[in-house]
Amino acid sequence: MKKVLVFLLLAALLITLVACDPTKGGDTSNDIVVLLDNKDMDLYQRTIDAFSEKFPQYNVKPIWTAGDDIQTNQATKIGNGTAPDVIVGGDMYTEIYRKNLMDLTELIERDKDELKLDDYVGGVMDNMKNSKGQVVFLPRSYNCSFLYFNKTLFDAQKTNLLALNLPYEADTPESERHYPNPAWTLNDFFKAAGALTLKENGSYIQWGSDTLTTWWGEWLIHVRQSGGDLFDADGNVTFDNQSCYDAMQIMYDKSYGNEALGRPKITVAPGETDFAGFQGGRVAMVYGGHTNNWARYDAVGIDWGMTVLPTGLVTRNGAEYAIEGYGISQTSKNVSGAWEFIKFITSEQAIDQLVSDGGLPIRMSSYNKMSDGVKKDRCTLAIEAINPNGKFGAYACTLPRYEYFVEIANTVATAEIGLMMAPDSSRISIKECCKNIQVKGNNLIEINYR
Amino acid sequence: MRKIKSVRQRRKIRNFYLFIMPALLGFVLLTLYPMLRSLYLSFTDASLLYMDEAKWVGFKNYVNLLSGKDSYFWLSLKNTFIYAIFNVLGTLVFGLFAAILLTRKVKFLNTFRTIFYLPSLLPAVASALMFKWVFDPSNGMVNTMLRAIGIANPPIWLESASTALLTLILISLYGFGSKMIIFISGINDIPASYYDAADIDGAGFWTKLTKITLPLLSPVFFYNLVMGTIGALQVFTEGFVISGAGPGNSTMFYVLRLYNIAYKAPYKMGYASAMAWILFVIVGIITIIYFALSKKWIFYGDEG
Amino acid sequence: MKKNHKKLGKIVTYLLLISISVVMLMPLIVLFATSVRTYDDLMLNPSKLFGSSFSLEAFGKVLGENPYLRYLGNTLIITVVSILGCCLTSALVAYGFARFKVPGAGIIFAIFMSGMIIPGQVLNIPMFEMYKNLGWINTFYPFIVPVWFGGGIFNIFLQRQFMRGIPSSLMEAAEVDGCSEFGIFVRIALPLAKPVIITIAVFTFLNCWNDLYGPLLYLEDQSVWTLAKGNYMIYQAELGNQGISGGTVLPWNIISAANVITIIPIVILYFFAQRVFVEGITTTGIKG
Repeated sequence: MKKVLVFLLLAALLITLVACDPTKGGDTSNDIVVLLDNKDMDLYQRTIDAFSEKFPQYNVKPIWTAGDDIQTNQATKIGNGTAPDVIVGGDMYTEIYRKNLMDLTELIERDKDELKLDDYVGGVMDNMKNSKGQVVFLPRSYNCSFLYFNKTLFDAQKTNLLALNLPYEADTPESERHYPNPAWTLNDFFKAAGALTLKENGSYIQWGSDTLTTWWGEWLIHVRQSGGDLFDADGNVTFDNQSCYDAMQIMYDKSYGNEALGRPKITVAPGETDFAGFQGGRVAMVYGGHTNNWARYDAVGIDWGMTVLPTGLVTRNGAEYAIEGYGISQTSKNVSGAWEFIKFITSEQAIDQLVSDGGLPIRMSSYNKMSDGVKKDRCTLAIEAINPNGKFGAYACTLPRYEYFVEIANTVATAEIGLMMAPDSSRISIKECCKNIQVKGNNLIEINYR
Repeated sequence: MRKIKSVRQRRKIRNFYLFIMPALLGFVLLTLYPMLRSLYLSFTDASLLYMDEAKWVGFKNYVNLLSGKDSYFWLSLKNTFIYAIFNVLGTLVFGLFAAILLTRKVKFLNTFRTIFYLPSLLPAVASALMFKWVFDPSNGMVNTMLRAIGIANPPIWLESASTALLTLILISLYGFGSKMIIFISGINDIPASYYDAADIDGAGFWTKLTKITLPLLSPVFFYNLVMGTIGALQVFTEGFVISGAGPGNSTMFYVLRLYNIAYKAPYKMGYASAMAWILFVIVGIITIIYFALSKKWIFYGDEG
Repeated sequence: MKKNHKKLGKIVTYLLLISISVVMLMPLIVLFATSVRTYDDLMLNPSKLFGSSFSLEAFGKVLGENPYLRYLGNTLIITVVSILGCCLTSALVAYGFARFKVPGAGIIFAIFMSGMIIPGQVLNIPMFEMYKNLGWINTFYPFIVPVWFGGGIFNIFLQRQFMRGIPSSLMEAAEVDGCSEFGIFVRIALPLAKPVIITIAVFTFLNCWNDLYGPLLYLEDQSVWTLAKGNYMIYQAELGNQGISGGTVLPWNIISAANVITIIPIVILYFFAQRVFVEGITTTGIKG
């Protein structure tokens, strides 16, 4: 018995020692740890391989993460003391990670010839600064909201759509007059969506549009286009007003109005299969959407087009504009490596590669290298859309820069909007929803941030 | 003679403390220190990201929580209590019911016992995900069956704020098996002579149940009620995995909310500690109430 | 007349038992059935309980695309060390309480016992801070070090109850033979406490296998995930893949396969140690 006991104790000790250390083993100062989107794994891997060739002394250790989870996981790591060397962020994250990001100003000054900051498309670098004016990120990519549409589905309903007398721009060729275009208003969008929602034997076989209740990329646009915003000048939530009522009405109508113009959250009736969204080819339009999805739309072989969002009740301005940037953690033990890496991943060479994979160029030199065609036209539109002095003016707006924005949006607004759109008796009225968002949001701010 | 005894006594004391040393150290390091530390934190606005900015805020956290300024405190407490009450009572009643059935000299006892009991041993994550699929409104097993028997518009369970909490309670009843096993052994421990005497008096099944079985089981029932309540008030995995507090925060449980505050950016340790201490007080009060009540209605048998 | 009555009672009993069995088994059957469907089959007829295909595709995906052996290894390390720590130190402490009638022992024991009602959250926040400062995030230390400090109050309680039942004459005899106190513990108390130790081992095993909260807090890197966390993260990843443009049916066959993989060891253990499960829970669930 005693021998067995001693043996077991020794075994336990051994396991304890062996078990705990391998994970710490990798924490050398040559590593560059970074969270990257697993959807773009191939592209990132190629960039990493190229980087490793150029800088063999560094060892990039990507943590592949689902795109939606990157920020949550990264924040968790920063909090529990295992922050990655390179922090993925962008405009609004300058505040959220305010204490954890290194000021890059000096490094940028040192390497400014190599960085070619003038090369970036309009206004990008201004959004990489925190409230103290320090540059904390280098930009790699951006997202701007557009209206995406499935050309095949539009062509199939051409006659019906033309009969609606929807507006089009003066120089539009005859074959494209039924497509969404910058002359559209929200009303035109609704009309077209109605014509594109089809039923067969009582069940839906095609939807005009798709609605997402859980993403600010959709409801916040409607709020802004209706003349409101989530926060007032003092950073308090302002939602209990007519603009927000209107915006919520739009959200609601997209799903339930007019015999379901859009696809309500739970509609798959018995016997029906799901439509797999826009990519499945049976949803005609996406309002907002993410430019990261371009490559995926191409990959599934949809014949798709895009244009700026229709003018809302008050304005067209308000499209979500988010810049993906890379910064360095203050706790990084490998600042020089991390700096080389973020320089590399935002370099012209890397952006070229991103563009050839279907992404959009954030550098003018990469844009200029593109050959003419539909891809370049899309990029032209995108660059025009984010240019505050361009044809569409202040169309694109960055997200609120408050530390608590994500918490308010996710904990408070998503839940209330979800209830407002609930498919059963748990539904709350639009006014109730707006009031709840304002009251609960402000309480939350007051409790923990004032 | 006295001196020898005292040496023995001292050695005894020394041995005692040597043997309980692990627990003593553990108590100080892993219970006492964390308790005091979290009590202290609960009076600060500490955030793990900005520990150097933490300052003393007095009772602000407690006032914000209890005054309803935090829109989610009372909501999460209400959700948790509804869950706890129905979960504890439900599993106990089902467990008792099944135990009574299984102690009626049935065949295939072992098979039935395994079928009833094994599900309560399933890992929480796996069983939570299993039920997420089973209660899927469009394609899940439950609604498929309901449609098959002619209910065209079955409830959408976890997708609606009016049924999600109820669904989680239903799911939690799946684990009644562990309570059942306890009751089975409790019933088997009741001396057969009690029932023999009752038979002589001509007592039926119902009389025997209410006059012998249930009173004699009451201490077991009581103990499981207390521990079950304490456990159920800390429900986390079900809400975290299955419903993520949604829809519309209808399944936001207390510990789930605490977790989101404490362990997600910006790691509001102070505020979360205040929540934890309020939970501690609630658990304490419930325990005291139970013990006060137990003197009245629990039958402890001959020894009293 | 009375006989008929009894017969009716029997029939009702069996009907009830069988219908409860059906309710209990259906979710599990659907789980297993879903796990052997192909994704194409699932997409084609998502609402059918049973697919028209039988394939191990989902298992291949789960095991091939995730380091499941690693998860298993991690879980086993935590489990084995926890079992050793809990069983041994709780026995040690319980022996101290059971054997030595020392003034103040009762009060110390009562204080320990009162710790049972402290909600974990009260302790978790400072511990998280502590482990973070020690650099223990992404290591197993937060799981395998605390178990050596008493191994859980409830386990001490169980062992003490048991050891108090060991006749003191046995130990006194050993003492007379010149056995040290530790010797008595190892040679006499520990072997006699085997049943309760096995019970503690089995339930520690279950706790480790089930734990999600701990791995969520402390095990951030994929290389240190446990089965429970790996299981959860597969679901999370599929949700993430569904993505912003969403709408597709989740690959429930893959998630189900992951669930089955986590469940199987428990089922196997149950059939090997059925008696411990059935009798063990009795000792853990009854007022002492």
